[in-house]
Amino acid sequence: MKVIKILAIALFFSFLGFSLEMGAVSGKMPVLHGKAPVHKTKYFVAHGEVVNGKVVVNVPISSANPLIVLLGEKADSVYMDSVYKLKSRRFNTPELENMEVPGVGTRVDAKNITPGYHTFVFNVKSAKKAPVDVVVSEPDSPVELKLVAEPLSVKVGDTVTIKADLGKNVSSLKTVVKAIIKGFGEIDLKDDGEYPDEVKGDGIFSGSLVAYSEKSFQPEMVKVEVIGVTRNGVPFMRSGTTSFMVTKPTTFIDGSIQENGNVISIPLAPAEGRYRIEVIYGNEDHALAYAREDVVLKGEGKNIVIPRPFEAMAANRAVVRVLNMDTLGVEVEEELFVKQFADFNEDLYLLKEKKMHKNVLPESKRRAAEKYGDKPEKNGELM
Amino acid sequence: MRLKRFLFTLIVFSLFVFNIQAKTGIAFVHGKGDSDLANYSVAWDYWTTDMLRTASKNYSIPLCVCHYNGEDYMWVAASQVAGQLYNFIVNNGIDDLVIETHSFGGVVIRWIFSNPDWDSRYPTIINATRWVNAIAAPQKGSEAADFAGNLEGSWLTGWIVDLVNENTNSTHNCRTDWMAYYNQYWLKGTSGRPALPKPWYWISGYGLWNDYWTKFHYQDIGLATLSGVVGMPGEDDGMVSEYSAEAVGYQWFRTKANHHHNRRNDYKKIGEALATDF
Repeated sequence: MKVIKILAIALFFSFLGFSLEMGAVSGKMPVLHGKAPVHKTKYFVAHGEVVNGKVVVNVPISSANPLIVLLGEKADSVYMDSVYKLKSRRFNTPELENMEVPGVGTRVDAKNITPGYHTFVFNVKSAKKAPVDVVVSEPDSPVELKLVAEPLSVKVGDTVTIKADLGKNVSSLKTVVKAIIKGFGEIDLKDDGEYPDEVKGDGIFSGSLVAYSEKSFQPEMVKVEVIGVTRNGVPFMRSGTTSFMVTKPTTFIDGSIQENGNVISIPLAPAEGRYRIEVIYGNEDHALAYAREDVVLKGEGKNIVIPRPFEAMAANRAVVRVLNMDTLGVEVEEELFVKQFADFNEDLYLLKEKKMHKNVLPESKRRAAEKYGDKPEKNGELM
Repeated sequence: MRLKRFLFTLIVFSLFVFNIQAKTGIAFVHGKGDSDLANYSVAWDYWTTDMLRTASKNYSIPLCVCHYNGEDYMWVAASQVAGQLYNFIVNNGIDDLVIETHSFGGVVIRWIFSNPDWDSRYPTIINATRWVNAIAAPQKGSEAADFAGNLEGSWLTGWIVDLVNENTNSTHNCRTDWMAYYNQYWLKGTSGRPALPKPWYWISGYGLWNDYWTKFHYQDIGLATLSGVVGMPGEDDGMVSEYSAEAVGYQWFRTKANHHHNRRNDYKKIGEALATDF
């Protein structure tokens, strides 16, 4: 009976509003406030200048075979420590400019370099004074910067933690980690065991800030620069960037989100603009179903009622979001427990998921893949 | 009774006739780049004549080469692309559209297919589409875009010294953290999100040097260098990692063609592969 009631309500709502959308989803339930990716880098960028036809940088090398690249200029020759001439290759790749990386440059595949500070001199044709970048990438170095800013999605006033994990090989005392945030300035990331850092000397450097924005939505960029030494006394540098998204809410939940089994009611406070209300239902970590409604508010508040999709019968939790369609910010994100009407069969769920993701190519595509594709074995069978 | 049967047969027959008269079209949506990609001829050159001619079977399939400002965010670019696709569909009576995208173009089209109520033209485009072939799309972002934020004259310098050289909107859009945000809140097709309304097939690239050693092709060394410097996870085509290109839709095939070659019909016959859809 309950099932029929839910079906009827879902049907009724689907006829009512064109923007109501419901259906099954697969995969994991979303992480509240977003899951931030971890940026991993084994490179650093030394900013230099062309002066009298030369670019000179003095940088720490922590591995034997670094890839050193001068971006922005073609060098006729490259010397290390004024003595050793390094074999170099020049390139002109306009394709790189599509990603705002200079298309012109000089590449040095260095071999068997002794770790420590070295001076590299690039002799270039250009005589005019201009800023350039020298990138040093050390794929075989044990020092990797793993950088993350959490949470990914915050509201003004929330705390954001920036973590730079350099591993246990680095000296916490002799390593300096700075984070530069637009409109905020610099903060030092510390590995001292004091909040927000968790464990002293574990190689994870942490710092925090309170999110702020004057705009309704503002992606904030963070640049982290590291200079330090390993526990063996080898100097190194690393750099990386990360970001987080700050929303200055334009509406809020006027009261509380209510769930009565068949529907979820979201009382939005008076506001102006276009909003998307979406509910993702799941059982524990498994996402089951999705429902969304887009609404326009013209200064008034509104109680938004979202019906429960049929596919969410076995759900025991839901994530409710109010998204701002004008700014792309996340106004509200809450998790609630919902009544479970059916047993959740994990085996059946995994079977369904497998079926959903089974790659069934049309015959023409299958033949084309055989003829034009390379290494088709990596991702399993081609149908 | 006979009349009813006759009418029923007539309706079924007319539906059948209507169906076999489905008009096929092919549309190309380019990736990010300069603002001059808003020009039709620049967008055409992006793909190359050989690619467009081959994929459209010597232009026998009506062809739409979309062109948008390559520096814009996906939703701004999507608006420009939607106008061109909508007019193409309506003016030519297209109801069987195959959309070919390269790089960021695959993200732009995913915006349209993820947000059908955003723009009144989107449903027409979605309904007319048979499927999308996305070549090397940075669906989870690109580590190359993250790297671009480290460079002199980019965003950091721009903010501190108030220069104008900060990264463009589309480069920000291609960052892995920005795409993580959009994938979790605004786009469909990734794990835990609703499915896209039409079939979606990916082609990912994993080659780097390609014909550098045989033809000394100047584009290949730069892409191989960028891949090496950035240290992209897994395999990549010099600009986009395969894990990212493969994050949405079903596998069509993997290609050794790098990011320069996989929108062309030269090093590998990608255009010929696309033409097999018709």
